[in-house]
Amino acid sequence: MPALSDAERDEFRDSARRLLADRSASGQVRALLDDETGFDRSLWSSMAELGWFAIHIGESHGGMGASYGDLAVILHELGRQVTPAPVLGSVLVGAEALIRSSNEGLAAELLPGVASGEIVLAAALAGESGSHAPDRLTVSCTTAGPTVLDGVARFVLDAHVADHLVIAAANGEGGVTLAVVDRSAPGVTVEVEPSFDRTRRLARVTLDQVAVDDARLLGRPGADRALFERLVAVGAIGAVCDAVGAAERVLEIANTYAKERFQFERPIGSFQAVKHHLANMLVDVESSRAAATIAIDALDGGDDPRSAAAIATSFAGPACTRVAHTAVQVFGGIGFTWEHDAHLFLKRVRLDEALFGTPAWHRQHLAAELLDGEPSV
Amino acid sequence: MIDELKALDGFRDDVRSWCEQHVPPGWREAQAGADHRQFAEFHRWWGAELRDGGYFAPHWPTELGGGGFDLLQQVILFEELARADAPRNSLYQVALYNAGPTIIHAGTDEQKAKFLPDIVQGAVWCQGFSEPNAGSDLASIETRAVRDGDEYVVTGQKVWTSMALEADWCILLVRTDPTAPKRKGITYLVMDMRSQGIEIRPIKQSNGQSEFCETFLDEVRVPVAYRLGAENDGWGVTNSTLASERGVVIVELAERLRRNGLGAFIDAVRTWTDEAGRPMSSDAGVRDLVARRHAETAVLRQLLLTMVTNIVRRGGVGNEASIVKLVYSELLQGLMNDATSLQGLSGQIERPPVMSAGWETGDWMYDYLNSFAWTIGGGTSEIMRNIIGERALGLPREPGVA
Repeated sequence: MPALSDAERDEFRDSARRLLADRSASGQVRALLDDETGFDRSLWSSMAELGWFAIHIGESHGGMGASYGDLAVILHELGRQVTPAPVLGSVLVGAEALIRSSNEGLAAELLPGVASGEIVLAAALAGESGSHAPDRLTVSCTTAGPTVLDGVARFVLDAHVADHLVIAAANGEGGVTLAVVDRSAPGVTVEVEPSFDRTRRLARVTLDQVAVDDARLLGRPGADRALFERLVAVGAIGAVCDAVGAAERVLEIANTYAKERFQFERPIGSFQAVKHHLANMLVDVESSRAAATIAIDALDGGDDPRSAAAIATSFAGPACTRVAHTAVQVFGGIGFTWEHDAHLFLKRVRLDEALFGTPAWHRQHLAAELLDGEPSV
Repeated sequence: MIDELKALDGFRDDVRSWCEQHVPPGWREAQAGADHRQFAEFHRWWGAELRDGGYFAPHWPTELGGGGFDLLQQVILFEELARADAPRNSLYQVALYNAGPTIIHAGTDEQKAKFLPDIVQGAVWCQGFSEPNAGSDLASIETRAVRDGDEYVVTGQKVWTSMALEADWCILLVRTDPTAPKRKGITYLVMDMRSQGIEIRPIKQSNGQSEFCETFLDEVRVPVAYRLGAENDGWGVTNSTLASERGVVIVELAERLRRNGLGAFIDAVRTWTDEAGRPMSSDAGVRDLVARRHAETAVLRQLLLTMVTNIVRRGGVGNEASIVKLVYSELLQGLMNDATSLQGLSGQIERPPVMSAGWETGDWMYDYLNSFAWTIGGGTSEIMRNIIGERALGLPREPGVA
């Protein structure tokens, strides 16, 4: 897919930043924290009008046919403003399931709606324990005959506002089936669980003997393990983009504060103890941006993104958390309050870090590649 | 970026086949335990090989005798030299990456004509900046230069002058105005190392080597014609040198760290056993560590590619150079530290060090000791954090630091 030019991308970034500064400022985000759904449909429509959801979706499905790198610009900006909006779950992971599906009819039916914002998707890729390992999924599917899904998926990002759910189910024989289920279908229950980051919601999805027509399967029953792993990797990459945006912005806010806050008759940022915190935060932000670039380049280069996703998320997850964590320390007492925005960033990046597999789990994948096969050189 | 590098595949092929023909097999074995003279001899030979191949001064314009390579070609050259495990061109680093660029930047036409062709022909340069009382606070140097007609008379002591025993020339910071604020009284000179009044004493380092020296100057006469920039303007001239020191050199070092540091670490972990005799590669903690260093190495490489991309596409280097210096130094040291720790007792037996292998000799404890050259030299990691804080983030300076 041809990417936008550098100049076009800069322009795109600027317009996204302007819209979100205006419509997703701290007060507006905070109002949504206490809202039951936490979803600003009018902002969603404005994003759709600007074409944000159509960026990387193919032109034949109502998209612009640009690159993942271009969509990453939006994910980054949403992270900067800790904006509540189901872009990661719907436009990145949900759409990815359809884009890579062998079920052309289903892709043709749903992708144009995802691109226009009229359809919202959510992807249920974790079992009850929060694990994304295929054998630890807790939705089961039948191995023969018509597909029936049964069980529970947890930590489903923004499932409560989704129209359709992409469900990953284990067939008990090591195979994974991916199916699209209507959120309002009989036997489907979506309950939001209380979570620390209220800018996104995590839902528990219960499926009680839900029969799925073959036309709603993304591939052949039990044959979707590779696609499932790709979706987890793509989700992890998206979470990194979000976290880098959030870390970049909280550093800016902490840096401004360190210049304005006086103690001992001088700005606290003149003390090396504080200055070095901020320098380390910038190193972490720039390194995490590089980590995100590695993963996005792998996606756009058509490579299997799993290794790059593991590098990016295992590095940038903890690094972005360190940035938001250290920001709280720089703010001092005010950073410990609900009133100050620091906790919004800290909670956002902590969820990003955990959302599609822990850093340690991703490192296990890397270690297996590096140590278990034949020596690479 | 990837596309731009791919477009140079032909250039890459040329470098690769040159390396296949010219990198001497077995040089590591031959350099194990080499003494200072054998080290210098080997480097003069390798420098000549590179010169014949057109790779000695890759970053300089062809009219100065350089390779005329653009930044991307330099990236490829360094990747390929690392890939072929070529010896580093260490003897000429100050000449090529510090002295040369400063002369190009601040020198007069006469100075360029005098010094640059010599550099390309293999003159060795050293750097006389640090002093016993001027380390991180470089601007507090005390070495005095007093004008006497068309010469300066220089007296003082320099320290950490690398390759001083081999050097033909020295870039030197001296104090010409002791009454001015400390950054305003410094002058930048070029000193002939054969001058009367220079005494060099090697410093034995913690790893047993003597790459660095103390240099004592007793009324050394330096022609005014060898002054770079204006009198008392040496601080500004210096900063251009330090910036170039941290630029493209790191591309080569990072690539060598990736191949010879991380790669050797992974190979070692695959062969080592733990105290119970189990393969170390099956230990969950070790596996986590290997993956962590692998990811960090990939990130460093991407940081450099991003820096190079910004220079190529947007025409300038910002504060990335300080960031990559810090990241490189700490990764190098962290990797050597991890490997030394995992290796346990067998890593505590000293072997003759492999000279000319740069920062990855394959002997982890030796490389660990040597890694402090990076976290301390060229601006300590703490000074790097000050620079990042003050230049990139715009934070106020520590009070009392002028």
